[in-house]
Amino acid sequence: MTELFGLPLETMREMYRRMVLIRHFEDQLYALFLQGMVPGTLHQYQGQEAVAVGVCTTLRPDDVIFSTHRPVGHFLARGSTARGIAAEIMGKADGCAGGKGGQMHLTDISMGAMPSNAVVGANIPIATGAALGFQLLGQDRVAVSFFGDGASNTGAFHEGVNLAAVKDAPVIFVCENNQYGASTAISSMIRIVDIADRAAAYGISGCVVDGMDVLAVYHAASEAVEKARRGGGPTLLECKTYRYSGHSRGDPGGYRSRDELEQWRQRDPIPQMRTLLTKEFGMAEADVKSIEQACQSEVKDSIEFALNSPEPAIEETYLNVFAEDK
Amino acid sequence: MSTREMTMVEALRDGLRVAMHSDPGVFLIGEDLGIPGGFGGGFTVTLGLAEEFGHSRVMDTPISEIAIIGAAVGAALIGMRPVAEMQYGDFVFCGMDQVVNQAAKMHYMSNGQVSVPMVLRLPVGASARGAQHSQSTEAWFMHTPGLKVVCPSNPYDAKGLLIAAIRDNNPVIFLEHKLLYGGKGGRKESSSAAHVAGVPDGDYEVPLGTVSVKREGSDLTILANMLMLHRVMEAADVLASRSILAEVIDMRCLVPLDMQVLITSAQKTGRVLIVEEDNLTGGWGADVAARLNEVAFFYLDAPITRVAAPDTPAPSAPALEHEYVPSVERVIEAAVRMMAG
Amino acid sequence: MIYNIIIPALGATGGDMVFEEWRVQPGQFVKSGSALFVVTTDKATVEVEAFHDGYLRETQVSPGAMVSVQMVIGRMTDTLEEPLTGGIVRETFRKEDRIARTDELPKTANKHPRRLLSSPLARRMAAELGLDLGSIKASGSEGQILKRDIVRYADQTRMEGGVRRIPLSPMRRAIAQRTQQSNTEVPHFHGSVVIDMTEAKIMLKQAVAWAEKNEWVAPTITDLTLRAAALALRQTPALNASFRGEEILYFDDIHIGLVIGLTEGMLIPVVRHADQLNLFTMAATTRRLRSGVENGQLSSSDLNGATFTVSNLGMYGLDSFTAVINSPEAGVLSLGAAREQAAAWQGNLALRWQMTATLTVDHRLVDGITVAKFLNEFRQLLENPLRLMPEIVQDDIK
Repeated sequence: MTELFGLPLETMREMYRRMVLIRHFEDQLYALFLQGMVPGTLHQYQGQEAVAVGVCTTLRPDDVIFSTHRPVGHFLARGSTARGIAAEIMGKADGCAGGKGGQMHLTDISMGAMPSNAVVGANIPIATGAALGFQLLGQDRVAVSFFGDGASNTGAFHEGVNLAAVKDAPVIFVCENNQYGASTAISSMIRIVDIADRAAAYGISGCVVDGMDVLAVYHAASEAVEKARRGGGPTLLECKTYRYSGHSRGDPGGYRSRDELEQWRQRDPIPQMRTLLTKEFGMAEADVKSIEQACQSEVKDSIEFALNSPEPAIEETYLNVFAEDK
Repeated sequence: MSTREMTMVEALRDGLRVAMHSDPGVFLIGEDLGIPGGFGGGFTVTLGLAEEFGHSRVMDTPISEIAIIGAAVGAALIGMRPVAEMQYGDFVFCGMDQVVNQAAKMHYMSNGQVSVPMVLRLPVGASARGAQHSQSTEAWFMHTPGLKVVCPSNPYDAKGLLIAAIRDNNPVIFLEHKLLYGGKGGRKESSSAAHVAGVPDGDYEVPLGTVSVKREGSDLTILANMLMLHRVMEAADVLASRSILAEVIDMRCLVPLDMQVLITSAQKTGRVLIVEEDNLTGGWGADVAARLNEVAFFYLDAPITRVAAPDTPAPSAPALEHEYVPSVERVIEAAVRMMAG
Repeated sequence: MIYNIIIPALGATGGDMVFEEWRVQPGQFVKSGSALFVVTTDKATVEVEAFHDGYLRETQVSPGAMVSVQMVIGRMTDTLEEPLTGGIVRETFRKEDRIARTDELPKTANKHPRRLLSSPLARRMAAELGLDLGSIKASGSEGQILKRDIVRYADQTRMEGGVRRIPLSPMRRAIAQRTQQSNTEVPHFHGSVVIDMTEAKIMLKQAVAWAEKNEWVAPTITDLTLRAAALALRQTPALNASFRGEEILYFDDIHIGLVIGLTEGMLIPVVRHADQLNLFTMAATTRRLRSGVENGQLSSSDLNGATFTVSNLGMYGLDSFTAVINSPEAGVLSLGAAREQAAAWQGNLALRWQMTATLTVDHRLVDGITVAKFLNEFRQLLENPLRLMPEIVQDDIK
């Protein structure tokens, strides 16, 4: 087989590589955090890789994404460099935002990745606004808003989705339902089981996707993106997924049971994809291994880079509060 | 450029029109802006613009302050120049996160990769509608780094500052006092001043970051904005008849603030009186007074004094609102007391 | 509804008042606005009206009682029948609940009666004009001196005929007293020498270069002369003394006062242990004292304890002068300008730098011979200036 769902092998290989890259990056950064070398805290993405990679693979370079306080997966999936992200997390001058944003506020305009947002739900109306802008400009670009299950309860979600619905804005709302808002289980925060059901309340399409299956995510996302580009309006895409780490790195996850974690580990998207590639596509084990090694060294290099990068100049504190007149 | 007599509403409307003609990226977003047969926004400023520019560029939204402001942020991020309107300035608090945490900080957090060239128009000021429809909100935004704050007092400044604000690459909070609008649309304020002035017809700007000396004097400096500016000018006439010559400065732009003009005036007169309609504690006057004190202390013959609304919510009854909003008499009284020493 | 009847604030000065009488009997109906009771304040006798319709039910004071603001003196009810307990009680409007429009200073704010209050502008103007704030009458409501008070004061000092009358500033008064006393009590005797400063000037240049190389304060002519004076004083201890009526005090330590001129007068800060400072530490000391004079930051040990004084008016162009002794010191050295003049030098006529030094002494304890001895030693040092350098520098310069 050379393709599946219209996807050539190279694309799927690249999707696999990006998921592995995200996993290695987050794992190695966690190790660094345990050594006390990371300022602030981390909000990590292990387990959710399929969502970021599945969605971002459907996008064009001129589309834009809006991410959250948990942005590393989205940014690496979009093609942002590991070096820029690592240095930004470490608060160094070579970070993608010069150290001014930090782990929760990554920005990489060259990759169409807008400043990620630490206020839960806040990026939803902003993504709607970007989509409205594309509409006014007569362009077929789309905006993607990533958010979690907790965000779906905010006023910003309600207002942002409703406005997009009423205007048929070309925006895709990707809800990564990892079953928890910080430490609170979703069942105690929402009466319904599928957040996608809320789409009907706004008169837009919604669908539930297995967020641990990167190809399923890709399939659903590309439909939503095509629909938006055609002027068919927004979609609410709910990806059922799970984060293997705590909410943030200060969180030991005492509110989740070992069994639950184990069950979700069985469905780890990366081994799933590896199996598909080797069994269905006959990719060689050696090839798979080389991908993993390449990712390991890319991450290692990015951390070296970050550690060796200088601190930002003190004057940076005062710069870029206001944009210059052009 | 020819000049026409315009109320502030007409001047603002004209400013929007000029900006929208000159740049297709400018669009309006808010409630009841372009509804056919409607009233053109909270106070008729956008009346007729939907007919001229279409209902996409004059975008009506549900009652969703978070979405109105958030959408403006998003559109600005991808290169548009949105002008968002809150129907009453007081409702901005429903969407404060989008103003303070989002619009104000994106340029800084991204280290300059993105900017948010949007304008947020807020009708402000007490007008007998009670505590949730009467606030003057300058101080909240002055205190947030990354926002510019503009508050014109007359039609000429209003149009010129609005056009400049739209063309500025930063988020600008644009305050408009309800009692200065002057009507000429369906909803005229019953007690509004008939502030009409000659306004050029075409494209002109009043630069941000400037204040305007409206009257020269040697005995004391009075700083005021929006409606208070007019009350101060009235008071200055009365004071002049008592041989007190006041220098009056229109604080039409609070961020960025042209401190140099204020310092020069303080050095000249040695006395500074600030007249503001917002509440005393933490009002815009408190910050200006502190800054002037730091720089011009040794030129002062009297402490810098503020006349402001008291630290209460705005009462609704006209009799009480009259007590709440600084009156011409209170300004005169404060000035006379300052001169007495 | 039960209403407390309260003594309102009647605009008096807030002291106690006397309750005169009730205008209504208990059980009687009183209409809002009609007289309820009478009170005498320290200003007047006042009739107080009822604030609403009702029945007077209870009185808590009788005629002649002392009452005060906010005190409850009785109770009224809407109806005659309702009980006086367990019901809702209303108070009349209390002024203290009002949100203050402005902050107020506590009445006991100015606890330091000797402290002068003045606006920053007035203070600055007074300093510029050399006026003593203490002699200016304040017109501010808090007792503060304002610009207009300074202006009025300055104007008042103008009289007809172009004469300005200005009261003595403290510094001027001090100088006047000191010089008058010295002139009256001390018999002044003086002698002078002309000193060839040519070698000293050359030496000074080298010393300055040395100082710059080491990033020290560069010495000046004054520092050089101070050093010479200190060393000369060591040789003439009779000058480092003070006449005290029946005895003379001779001091072991040499502390030299250096006169520093100001627009409003002068200050004489003290170089302590001047003989123990080498040329460079001397330069650092005088630099510190000069900036202390400029900033007004001299301590009392900087201004007291001199045993001798040096005054150098040479920089202002005076060829020679005779300073007044700074009593109770024994002497003061006055230095004129160094000028290039024709002089005899090694048997020829040459252009040499000449400076006149005049020593004025208290003749009660110092005689002419001591004057000559000091001045000769002083001259020798300056004409052989290597002796003024510290050894380490001497080696380098040689």
